[in-house]
Amino acid sequence: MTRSAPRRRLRSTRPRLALLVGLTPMMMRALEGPLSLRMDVAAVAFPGDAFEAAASELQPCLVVVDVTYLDEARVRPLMIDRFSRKGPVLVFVSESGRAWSDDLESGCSGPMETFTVAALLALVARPALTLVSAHPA
Amino acid sequence: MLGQRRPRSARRRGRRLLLVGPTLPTTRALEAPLSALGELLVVPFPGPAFDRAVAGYAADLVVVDVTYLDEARVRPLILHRFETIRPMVVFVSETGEGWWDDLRAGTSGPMMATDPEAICALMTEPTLRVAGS
Repeated sequence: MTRSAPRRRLRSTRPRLALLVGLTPMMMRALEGPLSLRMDVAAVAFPGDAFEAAASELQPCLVVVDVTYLDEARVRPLMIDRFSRKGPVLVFVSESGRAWSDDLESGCSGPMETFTVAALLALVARPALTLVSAHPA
Repeated sequence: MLGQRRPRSARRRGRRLLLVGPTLPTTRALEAPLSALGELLVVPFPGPAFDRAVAGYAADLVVVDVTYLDEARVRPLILHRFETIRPMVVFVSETGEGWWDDLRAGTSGPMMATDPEAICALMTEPTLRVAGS
């Protein structure tokens, strides 16, 4: 079997940046350190100038929005709209432990069974597998 | 609220106002009028800046923008955090709805208008005196 040229998902070429939006101090302590070991991390308050600048200028592959105190019904559509052209994975988390992900590239959404740093990283993990030709030349 | 005055110490040191988690339109609308009333501090919510302001700023007026916040969760938390400082707390949103809680007097009520003039009016010292005082 001969290998075809490796095909990689578009996501793998993006800068590896996580944007943390409106995190409570507790959530910040839980996420900032472990995430920063694996990717660049930026954190901004919401709403405000810092969020507006980040939404306009950064290219995150992962956006974590802390909705512990936010009205999710108002904020989720706004976040999806603001990041729809950039195609990151949006994750809405709260201190209650509930989490929801929206992959704006694939269009897949759903609840997260477990909310851990590992689970967040798995959402934006680069595929370790490469496609091989099904029909060798 | 008539006849209730802020403590002399608060009046002597000048008013302190705290604007919590404002959206950009709210900031544009309120920053200048509130600054005219006294020392204004603007902080995001939640975060360390908010926590520091609660602990050390001794605000007389706290304006919380709940445009994107879950008011049912945030209002009890804010009132709890300021219960020892006992400022006037105002919850506003871009919808125009508002609510005030005077933690010193223990009175609350809806605000018919949340424009800068209405918010600033909450900090206006009464000019009337009780007869005989």
